[in-house]
Amino acid sequence: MRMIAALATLAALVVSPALAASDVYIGVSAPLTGDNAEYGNYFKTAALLAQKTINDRGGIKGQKLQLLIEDSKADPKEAILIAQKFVSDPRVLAVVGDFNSSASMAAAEIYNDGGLVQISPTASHPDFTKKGEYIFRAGTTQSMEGAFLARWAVRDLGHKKIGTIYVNNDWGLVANKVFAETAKQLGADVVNQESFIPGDKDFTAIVTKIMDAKPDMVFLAVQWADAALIATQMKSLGLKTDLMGPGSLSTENLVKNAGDAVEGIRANAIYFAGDTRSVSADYTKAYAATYGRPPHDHSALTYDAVMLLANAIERGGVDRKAIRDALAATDGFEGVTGKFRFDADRNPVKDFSKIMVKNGKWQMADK
Amino acid sequence: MRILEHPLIVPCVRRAPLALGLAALAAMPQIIHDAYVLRILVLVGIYVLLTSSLNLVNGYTGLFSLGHAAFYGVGAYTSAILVMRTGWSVWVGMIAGALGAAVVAWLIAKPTMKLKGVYLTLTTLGLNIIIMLVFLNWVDLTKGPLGIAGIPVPTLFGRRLSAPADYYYLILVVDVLVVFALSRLVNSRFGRALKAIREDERAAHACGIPLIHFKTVAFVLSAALAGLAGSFYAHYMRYISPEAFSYPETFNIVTILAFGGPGNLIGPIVGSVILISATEAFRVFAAYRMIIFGTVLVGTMLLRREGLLGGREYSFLITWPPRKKVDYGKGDRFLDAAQPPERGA
Repeated sequence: MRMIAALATLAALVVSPALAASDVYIGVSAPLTGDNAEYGNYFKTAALLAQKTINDRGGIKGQKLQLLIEDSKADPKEAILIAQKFVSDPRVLAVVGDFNSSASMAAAEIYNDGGLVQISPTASHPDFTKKGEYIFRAGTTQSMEGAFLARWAVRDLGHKKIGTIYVNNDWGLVANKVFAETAKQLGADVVNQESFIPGDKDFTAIVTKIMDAKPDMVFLAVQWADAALIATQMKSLGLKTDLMGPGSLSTENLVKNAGDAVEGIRANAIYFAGDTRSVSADYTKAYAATYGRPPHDHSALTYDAVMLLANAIERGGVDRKAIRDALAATDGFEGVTGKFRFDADRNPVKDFSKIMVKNGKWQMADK
Repeated sequence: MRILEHPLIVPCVRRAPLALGLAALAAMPQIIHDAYVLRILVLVGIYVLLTSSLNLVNGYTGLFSLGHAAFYGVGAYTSAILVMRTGWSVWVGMIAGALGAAVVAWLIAKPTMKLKGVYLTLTTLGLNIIIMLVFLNWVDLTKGPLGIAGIPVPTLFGRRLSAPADYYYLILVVDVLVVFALSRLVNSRFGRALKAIREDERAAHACGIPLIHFKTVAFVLSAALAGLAGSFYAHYMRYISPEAFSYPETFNIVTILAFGGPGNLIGPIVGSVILISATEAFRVFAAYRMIIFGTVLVGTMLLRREGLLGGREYSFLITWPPRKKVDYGKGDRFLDAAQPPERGA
């Protein structure tokens, strides 16, 4: 009995202090425990920071923002229970979550049927937002990055002959396909498309083949570790060409491993710590000051998701349907990860930050 | 009270608590309108099915299989793919899911049922990993890591069963039928043979029980029920992906069985109810809830190694009329005095 009493006391302590009735509630569903707890923690820290930012500047239409944060363990079974809990709770106006596609997609059935907005910062499954008109995404997919990079390479940088190297899995395949198709549409000549099997370490054959075609630029739909090897081997074989790749390259590890072989490489950033736009710079500073460590892509996207919802509630009012309509109509919202609007499938259309390695450091690209 | 002991009334009295319990379960959605609670109960129902089926192998036959999530997954994928590709009814899919899991289990049982102890455990664990990798890599069929989305819901007499209460009744009916069938099975000649194998394989073999054959049948039956649970899961969640059927799921099922108590029919039910509702009830502890959950598990295992209800069998019927105390002959006392005290050794 004493054990139960102790547990009950502990429960009373943990449960958040009395919640006022007139506050605005947003639910957060994220893996706070289990294998993906690290990512769930990015969700939680960023959501709390967004809450603090909003409440410090006077809340949403004068009402305080409250978060209901639930642990899903990234497990679809738990995610649907949380979804039902939020849908049944009339206070909850919209939900941020979940982390992975399987939990997000299972829960989407319930959010959509219940008429409650679900916006996932990170779910990347192409069919996720097709689950219904209440389902949104704050993060980007491979195909969005590929198209953006092709426009950058062909239209802005004026490259005419482009070669590509991609890793042969679903991720690399989609990234390469979208990039190559968009580049061709824009009038560029895609001279080679070379693939390798994940785990390959020797790229000399691919590089030699590409050297024969003499492209202006090589597009790398690969992870940073492969990019480091490819760039190093290109340098030792004497291939001098512009390099470009998706957000997977935008890490200091690439520069650390490949050194001056990646000088001048370009990439898009999902979130870039050196972003000079004020909303992004403020966020980076506040996050580091609050938590004592630098933010991460996932936390930036979660922060944007909460801010997007707060913005939609301000415009639409405290009504689930009105919030959905306001969110769908979002246009030109300045987020940490770029300027947002949503397409017909409720995927974000945003300009990524353009970054490149200059003097051995990732910096904003000139053009 | 006389009337209650009438030979026609006695069977009714014996079944009265069971009937009351079932009636209470059936009335649940009428009393509880909270969809969140109903969904927790549906999840409990899925685990009752999974745990009861594993109980047949791990509890009654005394084998230690660690591959149950594989059959759960085969059922889910078979049913989802079949229904989505052919447009057949979900009910056909559920039967196919159970059969699919049974076929896979039979193919695996052939070489593995000869194994004993930890070798069987490791083989079934390996099998679970292999099947998960098949789901992950056979992209043309399973869509690999993307998973299968938009799985249809069952329809009954033209009505789509998609509300939480519909699924609650569906899993309740399945659970009641399965537990009833299992109660008949474990008290049959076959069931007693399984228990004999569990208690002493050599003795059972000496009594003429074909060990491998009986183990195989138990394994295949158990897999078929897990496949049925998987099929239900697929049409309930409407989205499946490989990680839901990986070995951590097997450990979940094994944990619930160990907690509730293997080797009887009530243990899996009690285990599922307590552990599934505990994970939800512990939400108030936020990030600490799995630590508290783990502590409860460790505590239970320290205090009751055989699980909450393990170590004996129970009947769903009560004893009626109350047994009169029978006064057995006391003649043995004479023998007790005559025999040396270490008789029981």
